[in-house]
Amino acid sequence: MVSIRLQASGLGRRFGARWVFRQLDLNLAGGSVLVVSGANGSGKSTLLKVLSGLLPATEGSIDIDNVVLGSSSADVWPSADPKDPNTGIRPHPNPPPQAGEGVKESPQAREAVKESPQAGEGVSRNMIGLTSPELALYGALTGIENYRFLAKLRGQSTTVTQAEEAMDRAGLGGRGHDRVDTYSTGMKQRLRLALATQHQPPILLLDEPTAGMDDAGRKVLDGILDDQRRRGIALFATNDTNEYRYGDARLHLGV
Amino acid sequence: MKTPWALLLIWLFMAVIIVAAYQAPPAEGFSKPEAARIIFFHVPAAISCIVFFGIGAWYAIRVLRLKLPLDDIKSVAALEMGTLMCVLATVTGSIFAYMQWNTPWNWDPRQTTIVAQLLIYAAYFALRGSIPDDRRRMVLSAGYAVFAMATVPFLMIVIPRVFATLHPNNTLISSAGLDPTYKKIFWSAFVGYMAIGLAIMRVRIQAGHLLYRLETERGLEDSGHIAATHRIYGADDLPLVDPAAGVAGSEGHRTG
Amino acid sequence: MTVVAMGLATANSALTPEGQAGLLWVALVFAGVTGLARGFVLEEEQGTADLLRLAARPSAALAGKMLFHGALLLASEVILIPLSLLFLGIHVEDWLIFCVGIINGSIGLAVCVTISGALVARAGSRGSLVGVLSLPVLVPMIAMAVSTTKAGLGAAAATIGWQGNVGMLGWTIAIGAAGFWLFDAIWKE
Repeated sequence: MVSIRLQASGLGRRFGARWVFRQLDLNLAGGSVLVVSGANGSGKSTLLKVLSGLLPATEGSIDIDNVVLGSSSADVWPSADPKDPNTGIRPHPNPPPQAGEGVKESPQAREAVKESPQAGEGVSRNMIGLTSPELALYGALTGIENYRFLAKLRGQSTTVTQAEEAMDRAGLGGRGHDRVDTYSTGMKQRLRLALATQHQPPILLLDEPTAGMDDAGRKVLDGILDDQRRRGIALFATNDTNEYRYGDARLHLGV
Repeated sequence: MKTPWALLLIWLFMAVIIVAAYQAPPAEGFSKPEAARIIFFHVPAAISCIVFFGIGAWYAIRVLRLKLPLDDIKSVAALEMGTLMCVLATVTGSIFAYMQWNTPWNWDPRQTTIVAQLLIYAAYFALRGSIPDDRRRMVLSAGYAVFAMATVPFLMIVIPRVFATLHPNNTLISSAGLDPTYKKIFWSAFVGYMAIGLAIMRVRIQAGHLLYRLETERGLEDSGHIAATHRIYGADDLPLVDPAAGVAGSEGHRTG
Repeated sequence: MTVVAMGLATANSALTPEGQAGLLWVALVFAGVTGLARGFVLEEEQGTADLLRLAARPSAALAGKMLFHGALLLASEVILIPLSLLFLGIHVEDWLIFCVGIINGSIGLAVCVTISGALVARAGSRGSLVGVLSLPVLVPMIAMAVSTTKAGLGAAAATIGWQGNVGMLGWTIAIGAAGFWLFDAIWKE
């Protein structure tokens, strides 16, 4: 089990005037899988995007192995006692503010002290893998070309053989040299999984990873999650109550 | 100093300048010497326009570095004032052109560049209008404002000096150019313009601040009781049942 | 297509070198701005921009797109410029100034187009806004490019041509540097 830590404190994100989530605290240790559940539109995808660095947080901060990502807010709640290493997750230690309380602060106080995009940038790139149904692939390239292009962007060099092996592991053996345009939904999803795990990220964010997948695809996913437990942390966003079993704990959004 | 008093003072100051402008001797050498007094209102507007664009760009750079909404509000307010001054300079220039050359517009290089400048800043406000999310709007429009500022010295200062223009150059700085009385009134008018602009900008910032708070407040009401935006289930709660949805999860067990 | 249109429009009239320089740059800017839609805007439209954001260094993404726009522009120039010279009957007086000016201007154009493309793509604004948003970075560039080319065609003094070249280089470096700084700030918004 790896000694990686993913912490978020006072995390919040709003679009326009609507808050998707607020005052969210996470504390995850290596070897744990957190299921994120919630109705459609409850903010599962938004949370995963914020954690991956694709979207900036409106308030709060994300901390991966003591490197702070995103905007750190001035009104971050003070941390409570040492965390429980087993569950790794704790509810918010402080009572949330009453509606209207936050409004009295000046916008400055609310919206963040300076962040360090430079430090955070490298961390999110090397340490995080994300798969999401919204994530588009290069349709004009083949699966293997997609794989090798992304590996190159991540600063790795892959041979065609290595890429072919990765395709085999994802269950795309034989179709790796076809254009992604010709892939089915499930096959694209398999390719996304291969891309999200190609750099062996210590933090893996899976947004509805089983969408469109058959039983064989789910087996691939099982394998990926087993690997991830050894390698670090996984977050698994899903609507399917049957998939809650994948997690050691569950975060339910939008009650 | 409280705002009403400051405003009253500025108002008095500008009144004095307007009177003084009409007391200045008519400038010889123009087809309508009396009309030349418009430079007391035309040129200060153009210079304060540049200053306000500069202030706007300064806050835009701060937005890009610190991402504070208050800087965004200040940046917009300054750019609004700059655009207003730009329009004033264009209009007063046209009035003078009409008096002097009988045509309000003759595509003088300076007229052409000021239209380009107005267009560039009009695009700034169009850009703001097209982005719904406030954070993205703040950052992108700030980025654009920085580039827009980069054109200001080029369009307002360099190009008009390179090409032949109807405008005189360097009259304000050189000792030969302008009568001392003219200079005094002129620079006082500039101070007056800046003071008015800054006063309006201040009101705009306060209004923007209130609007921002209103928006955030509405957001708070929308998300209802914040205490319940999420709920956490520990390992002991597995198998998990979603109480809200009322779905029975029968086969939950740990893998891993 | 642009060249044919220009050739038809000017078929029977003798253009001044000033007019020729202007027309030539109208064609080149048209080629450059058309490329806008294939850079960052395309990445955002087909949704692959997130993939880039996840995997690539921001500076690498920007530099890559600059190279892409540069190559695209170069490819269209190889066809466009000989055709223009032929159809418009352009007579080049000073080949050195002319060529340096074109190369210099094209590099600058590619840099400017890439950066305004990044801004436009993130703004999600299509259509009419696209052209206007690229104005601030392009206007000074085009003004200097035209005056340089005028010198190359013998309609202005050689010193003006070299001044224009230095000016373009300076503008390209300034916009490029500002662009890399700015890109870090806007790429993940």
